[in-house]
Amino acid sequence: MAKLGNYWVDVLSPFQLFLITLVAILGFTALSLVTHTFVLVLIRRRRRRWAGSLQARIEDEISIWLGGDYSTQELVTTFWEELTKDRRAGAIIINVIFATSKLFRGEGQSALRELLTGLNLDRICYKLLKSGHWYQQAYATRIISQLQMLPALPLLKRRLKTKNTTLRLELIIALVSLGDQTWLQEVEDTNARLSDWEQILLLERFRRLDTHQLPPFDRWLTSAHADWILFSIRLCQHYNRLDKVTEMGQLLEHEDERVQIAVLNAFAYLTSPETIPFLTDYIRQATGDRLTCALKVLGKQGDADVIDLLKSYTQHADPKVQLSALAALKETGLSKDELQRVTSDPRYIDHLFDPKRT
Amino acid sequence: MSSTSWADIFTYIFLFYTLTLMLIYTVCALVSYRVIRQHVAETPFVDYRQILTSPLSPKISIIAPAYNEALNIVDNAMSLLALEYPNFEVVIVNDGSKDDTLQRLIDAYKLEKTALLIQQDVECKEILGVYKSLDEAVSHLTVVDKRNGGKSDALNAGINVCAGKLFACIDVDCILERDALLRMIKPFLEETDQKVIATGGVVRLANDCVISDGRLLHIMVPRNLIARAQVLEYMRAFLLSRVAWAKINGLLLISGALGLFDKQTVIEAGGYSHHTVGEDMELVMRMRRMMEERREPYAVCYIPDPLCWTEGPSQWAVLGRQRNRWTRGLMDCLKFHRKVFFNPNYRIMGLVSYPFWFLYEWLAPIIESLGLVFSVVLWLAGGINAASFWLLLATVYSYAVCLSCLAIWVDQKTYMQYRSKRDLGRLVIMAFIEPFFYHPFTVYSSIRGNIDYLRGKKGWGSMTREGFNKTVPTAF
Repeated sequence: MAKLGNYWVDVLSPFQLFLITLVAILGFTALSLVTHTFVLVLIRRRRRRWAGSLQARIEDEISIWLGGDYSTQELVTTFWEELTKDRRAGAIIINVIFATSKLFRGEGQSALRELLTGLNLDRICYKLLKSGHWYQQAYATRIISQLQMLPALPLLKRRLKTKNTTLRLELIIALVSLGDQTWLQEVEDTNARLSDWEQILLLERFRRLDTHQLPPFDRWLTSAHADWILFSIRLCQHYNRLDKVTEMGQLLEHEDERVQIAVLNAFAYLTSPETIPFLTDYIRQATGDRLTCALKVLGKQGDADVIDLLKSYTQHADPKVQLSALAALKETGLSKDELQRVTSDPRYIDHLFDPKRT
Repeated sequence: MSSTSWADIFTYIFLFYTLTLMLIYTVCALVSYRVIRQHVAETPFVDYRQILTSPLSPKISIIAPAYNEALNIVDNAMSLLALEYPNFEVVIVNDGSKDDTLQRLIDAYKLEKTALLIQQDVECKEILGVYKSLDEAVSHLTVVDKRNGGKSDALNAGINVCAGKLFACIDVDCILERDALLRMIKPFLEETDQKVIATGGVVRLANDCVISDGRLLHIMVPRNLIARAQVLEYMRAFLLSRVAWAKINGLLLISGALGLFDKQTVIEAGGYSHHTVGEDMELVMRMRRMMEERREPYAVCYIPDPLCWTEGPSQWAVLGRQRNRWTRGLMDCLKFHRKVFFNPNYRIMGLVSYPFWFLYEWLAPIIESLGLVFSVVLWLAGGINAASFWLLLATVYSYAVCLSCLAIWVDQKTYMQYRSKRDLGRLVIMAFIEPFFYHPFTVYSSIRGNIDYLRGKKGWGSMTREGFNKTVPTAF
């Protein structure tokens, strides 16, 4: 090891030079960061002021145009002037058209689409769709979806295999909005998982569609992927598909526990007598949380024929199961007195009949 | 070996340690910035309101332990009840308060004792009563009255009572952003191949911020220098460090002020420990250990958005007690889970996270203090070159300033929490002066924590708070 004494000399050693360089770099970086922080504040303020006034002008002119006091040609000429002055105006015009189009459907929306095309701003959307940044692609997809720009469909489909989940979801939602169902098989076949988050967003999008516009989601009950089966069950529940009880009942034998629980939730919501044979079979083999859940669902069916089966579970070794069975019996319509005769623990009855129990 | 050689060895050890620490912080900062930028770019495409109307949103229970909080408990409960989420309950656990915390809640929300059965999933002291209201507007409020057992015991009682699949543990006096739950639930909803066991969020200081009806109206840099230094410290920790640790799935700590947990995993891990004052970190470490031992894929996630605002100590004595407690908590966690240290069976946790916390979080103040003592000894013995000494000091100082400036810059590039030039100026000045007065004190408090730990000191110590600024200024 080199002796420190060799370094601790009056002339600058390599080590000291290294430290001086480090201090200089760090000092310069710190000063640059501070300067840039303050410059950012100034730039942002100016840009916000400029964008705010331009946006207000564009909004005014679009509302006058929509009111019929302006011809499309006049509006296009005015906006062209803005675009010639500053190319950044394009992004603001697109934003305003996009925001305004959310208020319209049909004719109003197609007029806005034509305005976008007239200003050649649709090309910007297509260009963004081909950009290397996923968030630009997602932004373009959103505009395409909102303004129903059907010619962009092939471009959207080409990007479906993206690994970025946010972009993928935007693409799926756009394809649903554009009414193209052929992509569904492609998405299902990609083997990419369909998370609960994606299911929530897709369900919300489906809820906005008319029934005839919905994709044939019942087909996914036989999908090879558990996520799609799960989504299909949830959709069947949401759209009251009582005709799918048998198919769903068979899925109680699916190896994925999430699928089983989803079927139980769907049965609790649909409350059909057809669910009872599936539930009674299921209860005999289920354990733990699945058993307690199934008991409650069976109780919700309100069928007197299941009372004896439910009563047998009030003597189960697991107190959770006992309580679930009693709750189920209460759901079938048994009175407090009748329930008291079934159990030896009065605390269960107090619990079940507490008015503050939610 | 001559004394000069020993001095050389020690000098090289200190130097290596410092440079490694700088390198780790730099890598963490760069990774964090990249992740935050990606997250911010994603934000416009994430419509959290969809969760509000979705029937698929899972139930969340918010557990807030309260001890002698009579003064603000009704307002705090109201603030929690007003959070944006479609399916949630608020469980306030009165941990044997000596004041009238419970009575104030009973009176304000017309609560009545229930006959509900409680499943003892995790260990806690006797629950004296569970209160709910018949009023539909606050039907999602549950108040648990129990014997005093400390924060972790109160949280365990909350876990036993709550009905959600997920539970959020929060400090009752914190201000949560209205959409905090919507943001925190997202990683759980996005889980596919890895089970998300917990999610943390950024905690920031609310000293001198304007607050009204449990909502943060205006963010300001605190006037108090101690609190202002903490603002910078929190920015460095939350913006430049934890995000990076979450990126490599190496996060060991989710702040006790705000965390969302998978209830079943917590129960299986045994709930909060009664044997440490660092119960938040200990729980995460235990959950991670359990998942690693089961060989189940899992993730501990982190949301870089500022979601929770808390009041930081503005007096030296209170700050000292807080840091003392943090050190003792950390030592407990490191001791309880020492089996993990460089153990390849625990992968990232054993090979990266635990060693980092051991070598660079717990040992850092000790090494720093030893380095200082060593320098003084060398100086007195005439074995030190003044130029090199000052240059080393200048390097460390300029690195600390640079890191703080980077934190301010990252905040400006992403969340823009502090927008006025005056506030930014105050933070920048603080970046330059904080290493002289604030950092040495935290190091001192940490050393005190080590000594207290070895002496067997337990308990939290009193944490007096001054209260949030609730007056709305006429113009800001």
